[in-house]
Amino acid sequence: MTGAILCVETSCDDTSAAVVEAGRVRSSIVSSQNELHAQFGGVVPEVASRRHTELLPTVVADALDAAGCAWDDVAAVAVTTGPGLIGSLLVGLAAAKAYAYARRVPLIPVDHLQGHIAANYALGVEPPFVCLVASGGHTLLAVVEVGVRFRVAARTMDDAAGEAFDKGARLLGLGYPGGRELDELATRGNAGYAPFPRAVPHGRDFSFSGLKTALLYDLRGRDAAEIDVHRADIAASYQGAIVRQLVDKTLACARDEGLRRVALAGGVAANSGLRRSMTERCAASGLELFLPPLSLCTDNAAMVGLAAGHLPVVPWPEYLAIDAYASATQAKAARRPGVRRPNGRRASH
Amino acid sequence: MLSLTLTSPATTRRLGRVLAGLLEPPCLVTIEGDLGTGKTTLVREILRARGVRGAVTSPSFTLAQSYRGSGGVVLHHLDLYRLSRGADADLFAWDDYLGGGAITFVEWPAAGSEALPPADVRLLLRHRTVRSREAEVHAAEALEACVAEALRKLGMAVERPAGERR
Repeated sequence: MTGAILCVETSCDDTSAAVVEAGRVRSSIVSSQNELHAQFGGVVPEVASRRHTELLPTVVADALDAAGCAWDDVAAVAVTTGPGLIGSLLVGLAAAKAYAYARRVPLIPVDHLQGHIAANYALGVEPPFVCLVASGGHTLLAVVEVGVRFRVAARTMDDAAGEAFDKGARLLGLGYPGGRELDELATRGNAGYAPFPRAVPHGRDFSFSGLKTALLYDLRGRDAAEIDVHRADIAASYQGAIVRQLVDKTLACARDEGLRRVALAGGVAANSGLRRSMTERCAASGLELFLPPLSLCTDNAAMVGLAAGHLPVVPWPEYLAIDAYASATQAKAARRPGVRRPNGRRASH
Repeated sequence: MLSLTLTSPATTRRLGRVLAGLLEPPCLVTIEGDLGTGKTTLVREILRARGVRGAVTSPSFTLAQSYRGSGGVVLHHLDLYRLSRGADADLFAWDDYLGGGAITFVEWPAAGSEALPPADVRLLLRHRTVRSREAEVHAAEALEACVAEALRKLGMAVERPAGERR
């Protein structure tokens, strides 16, 4: 793919657009809906969809402006088709199809997880490598063989790591979602204060739901005054347990797969405890670590463009049949024209 | 109403398998209980027993996940946790997930109480000790009787308070 790729990403609550050319990020704009959703204590899907509809034209114009790119320079449009909130995805996909049709350029559908992984190509990583993808909705270890093609070596059996941070923050009285607040609090605490289970079942796979329950019972066993004094210590201990599991299993995967390069991706890769621990442990094991900047860890459209460079373009009119999918299990059906998703909603063509 | 003590995660899963064998679509099942009481564990076991393969993870982030079980039965797993703080639940696309020959599981149903029809089965989970939980099953008389019988056959003690018996 040569020429500028206009990229759109609306899988959750951030409206983002970017221009990527030849693997280089020329611009990346993210309009966060965080403040809007804070009043609800989370993302409200239909509210998010409406906001995407309002924000996307401006965000796209800003991305083109920032890149010094005219519509005539756009050679293809790349867009996230899933997994994510279905209503949000459909807004981005419908807009991307319209842009592609209006400009007579092809479309490049991109999987959200491939996008997260591809953020590491901005750092010049070379496959094969193992990538820990951890966010509010996903936690998995991807063995990337070539481009953005990957095999899932491990995944969470219950909660995602980001969910463990957010729900833990709520139990600690930090609000919801409060993963970032928990991280800040944890930097001031003693991670050895509260004992959390070290052993994690499920072999290579992750599990965080037991840790969440352990935190709940740890807090129940303390009186309010003690929690007030030691909130930072408990937060540090809890965060330490999540981070230890993420790092242990990532390094074990690298060892088992015989890989020397490790990469991070997804919103949880912005967690300071995880970045510090992964840096130390990879250095100690002689592994090369790739840590994307925070702006490429959380949801953004630049990563969509970085992935798009490794994916096939879909010409008119085939791209009209591309559907969005909420979860990985529905991805196959979405790529087959004429197959309805179980929930019966379709992209508007 | 049936009440029973789940002495371990394994007994929570046993309850899930019993329920899985007795639910007939279309059917709405709500599951209430605090963080960490085993709601997702219970739903995961029901989905597994209904033939869902692959990972069944918490839908807290995506709000809804849909699966196809054996016999082509559609199973929806909803989690309204993120809506639970007075969000405008009217905006949620309920119709996509209710009826239509599907079995729908809803965790944290309180946020949807205005929009949801009465549940066919209400499950309540409460913390008891670190490992054990109290469970309540509210359903139609005949279904409750079947659940009680199946659980007793598995050696689990089930209480049916006399006042509740119709």
